[in-house]
Formats: sequence, structure tokens, C-alpha cells
Amino acid sequence: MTMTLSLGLGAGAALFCVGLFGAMWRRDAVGALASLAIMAAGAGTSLASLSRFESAARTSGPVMTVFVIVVAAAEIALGLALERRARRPNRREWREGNAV
Amino acid sequence: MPDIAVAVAFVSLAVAALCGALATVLTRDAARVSFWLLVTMIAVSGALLVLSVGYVAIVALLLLAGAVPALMLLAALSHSREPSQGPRRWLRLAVSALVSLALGGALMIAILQARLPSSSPSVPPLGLPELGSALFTRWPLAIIATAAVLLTVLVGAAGRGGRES
Repeated sequence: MTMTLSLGLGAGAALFCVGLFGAMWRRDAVGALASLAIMAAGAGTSLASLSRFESAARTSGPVMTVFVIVVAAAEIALGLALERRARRPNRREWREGNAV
Repeated sequence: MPDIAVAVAFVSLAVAALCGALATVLTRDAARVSFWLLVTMIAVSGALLVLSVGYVAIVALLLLAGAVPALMLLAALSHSREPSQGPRRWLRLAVSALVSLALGGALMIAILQARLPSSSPSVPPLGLPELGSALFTRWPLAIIATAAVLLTVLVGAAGRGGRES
């Protein structure tokens, strides 16, 4: 048993597909955004595997992985903030609820 | 580290990550989703460490395994009620599973049929000075574009929140 590029790419592809399934199936924001994080992790695993085996991707693989991770984390934080903001009652609803 | 040890460690961590990902996707409780996501991301960070990209593993550990599950736990604590799946739940489940399996099958066939190197890697691992130098000399435009995108979505979220409140 040796470490091959197919092994790394296969693991990344499997993680990406599990995340895709969750992103399509889940309706709640937490589940859907967690699935997006899994998809980003799968892409990062594939890019890191490429950088280990292909000399052309030796530098670009880790750099792209860092970009993918940073953008995915920011996107999840923004999605959760927007979802929380959308669920919060606005000022008029809050006044009407406390009027009595 | 011997090549067989690297392969065994990577396969173990990849299996752990896949099991954690499946549990994340299939669990309905939002608090448990953040726990299983933490397990998944720790396994992915370990796999990145095995692939000799230590700096990227640390970034993944800090962001994907540290910040994201904590944010999700906070969101789960604020409202734990999951929206109803609706009348077409089983149809959506079938379509999602079908699309994911089709894409996964196509990717696996492409990986198996491609002429990929099957020997042990001959590429030397990338050091941190080299990575930093590459980030700020070969990809400065990508860093600026990422910063611009993050700033744009931050301003957009603040503007939208201000109009809604």
C-alpha cells in the first residue's frame, strides 16, 4: 500500500460529493452551510494532494487551498449572520409585540 | 516517515473525515451538526498534515475546525428549531442522492482512467518561506481580489441588516 495521487483525489472527491448531497438536501441554514464547509474541505484535500505529486502544482496547490479555506470560512460566517439577521423581528414587529 | 505509514495514516483520516461528513449531513439537531463538523475538520486537517502541507493544515484547523463550528454552535443555540422539510422531502432526498452519486461516480471513473503518477512522490514539500514568498509575489492580485470580495460582502451584509432593522 503506497500513497498515490488517486487516493488523495478520490478522498477529496468523496468529501465534495457528501457535501453536495447535504447542500442540496438540507433546508436549515446550519446544515446547508456545514455542507458547504465540507465541500470546501474536499476541494482543499484534492489541491493539497496535487501539490504533493505534481511539480507544476507544488506552490499553487497550497496557495489555492488557503484561498479556498479563507473564502469558505468567510462565506459561512456571512451566511450565518444574514440568516440570524433575517430571523430577528424588525422594530415595528417588536413594538407591536410589546404594545399590550 | 515510510510511505506505507503515510498511506495508512491518510486512509484512516480520510475514512474518519467521510464518516464525520456523513454524520454532519444526516444529523438533524443543529448542535450535533457543529460537533460532527468539528470531527470532520480535525480529520481533514490531519490529512493535510500527512500530505506535508503543515501551514495549510494549521489554517484549516484554525478556520474550518475552530471558527466555523463555534459559529454554528452559537447559531444553533440561538434557534434550535429546524424548518420543516416540506411535503416533497423524499423527492428532494432522492434527487440530491442521485445527483451526488452521479457526480461522485463520474469523478471516480475520471480519476481511475487518468494516467496519474502511481509512484511515491518526488516533489519536495513546500516550506513556509516559499509559500509566503509565493503568496505575495506571484499571487498579489488574488490576495487583493479576496480582500475586495470579503470587504464587499461585509458592507453588503451591514447595509442589508441596517435596512431590515
